[in-house]
Amino acid sequence: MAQWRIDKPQSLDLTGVRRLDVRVVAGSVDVVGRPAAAANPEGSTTPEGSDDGAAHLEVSRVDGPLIVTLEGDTLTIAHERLSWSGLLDWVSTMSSRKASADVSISLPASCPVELGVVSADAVVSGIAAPVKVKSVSGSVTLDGVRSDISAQTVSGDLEARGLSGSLHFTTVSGDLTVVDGTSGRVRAETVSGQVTLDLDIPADSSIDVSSVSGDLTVRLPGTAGLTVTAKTMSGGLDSAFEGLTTERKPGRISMQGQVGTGDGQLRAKTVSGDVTLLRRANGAPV
Amino acid sequence: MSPVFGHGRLRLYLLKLLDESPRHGYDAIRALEDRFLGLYAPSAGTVYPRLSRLEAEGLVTSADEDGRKVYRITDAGRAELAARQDELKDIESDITGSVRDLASEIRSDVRGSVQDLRAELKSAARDVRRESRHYAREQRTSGGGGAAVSDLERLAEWFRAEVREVARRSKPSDEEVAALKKVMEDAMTEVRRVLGGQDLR
Repeated sequence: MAQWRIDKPQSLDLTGVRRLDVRVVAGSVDVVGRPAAAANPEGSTTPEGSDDGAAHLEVSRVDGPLIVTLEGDTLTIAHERLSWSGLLDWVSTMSSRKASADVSISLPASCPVELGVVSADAVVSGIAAPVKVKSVSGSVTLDGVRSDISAQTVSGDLEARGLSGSLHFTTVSGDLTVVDGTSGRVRAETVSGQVTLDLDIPADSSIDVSSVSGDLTVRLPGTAGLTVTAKTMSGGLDSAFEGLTTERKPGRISMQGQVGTGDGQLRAKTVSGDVTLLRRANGAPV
Repeated sequence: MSPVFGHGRLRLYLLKLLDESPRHGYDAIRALEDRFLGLYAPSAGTVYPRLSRLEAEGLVTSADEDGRKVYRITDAGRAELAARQDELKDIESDITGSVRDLASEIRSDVRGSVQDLRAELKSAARDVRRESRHYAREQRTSGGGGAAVSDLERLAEWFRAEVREVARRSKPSDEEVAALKKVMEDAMTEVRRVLGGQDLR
């Protein structure tokens, strides 16, 4: 095991990293996945190829020491004494402590990433392995993540572009926005946050969104095949797709039916939010 | 890619890599990739001609080792490197800043597309809503249909919610409740009269 205590701006180059675990209180965390190297044209000098788990860590600002540990193939970067379970406690008990840092890491795209932040904003880009994020109030930006994502926030927003794996997002008041997604598995649960999804879904997809008061808006290609079930108690239900029937009963409006082949599932449920189902114009840029 | 390798900078950086140790072409590419965090992957077609030129200028020499051409820096090459230390430092600080810069670029880029999308979908949602209301109105004026019924039901739903809300807030007396009942029964009579005694269902 190798360990570093970082209390001033510094960078570290490491090898043998196959997994990343970051826990930072405030500031920012950037994780950029490095694509697998191109095939060696003339025979490699290193037998395992260029994917030797090289990671580059930059700490450009630090207020309260960070502990960096490489144990086995797991690289851990954490503020002292911030455990995963302590993420929420930190807010109430330790907020007076200085613990802020700007951390940037580049590593092989094949590394699974776990990220825990209190108020720090996070960017995760180009990772092709599962990504797990927990944030209290920090916003989370995901770009080109090609594997499964699970994210939880209290008030932090999640903004994702070009995701292709499954997404499971749980929040109290954070907004979820997915731009140019090609994922067929999206589940989002929110209390007051808004959910906005723009997806080009494969066949047999499952989209499941629910809220208490947040609006749920989903845009899909005109060729989508889905069985739709949408419900609201006091909000509105609207669909740009034809063939859905709306039923209104005291205290409950529901919209059901089949779109296209109907092979996938779309469920949207809210208490007082609006549900809007939109279709992409034919030939609209994906 | 980033302007990290502007004019002549890649050549200088190759020289620096060869100063660290002799390398063959592919090694140099790999080393560049590592330094640049994989964000910059120079092609063989970029690197080899530059190595040849360095050799032609006498800054490096090459020798065949195990069937591969291995490049070594010469004294002239070291002198060139020493003379351009400042430039080299600039390149290295540009490299160090790159993950953070890239991430902040990604962040603002994604945020921009998110805002665009939300604005676009908000306006599309408004259009869909307007259309379905328009459709409902058309249905009503052209003799009724499912949508018109839905529209009335929505209105009734609203009415119900409003009555409930007002009643909860003002805690009406028995007389007031009786008066309100009368108002609503009258409204129902009026509804039946307008629709010529049709049953709404």
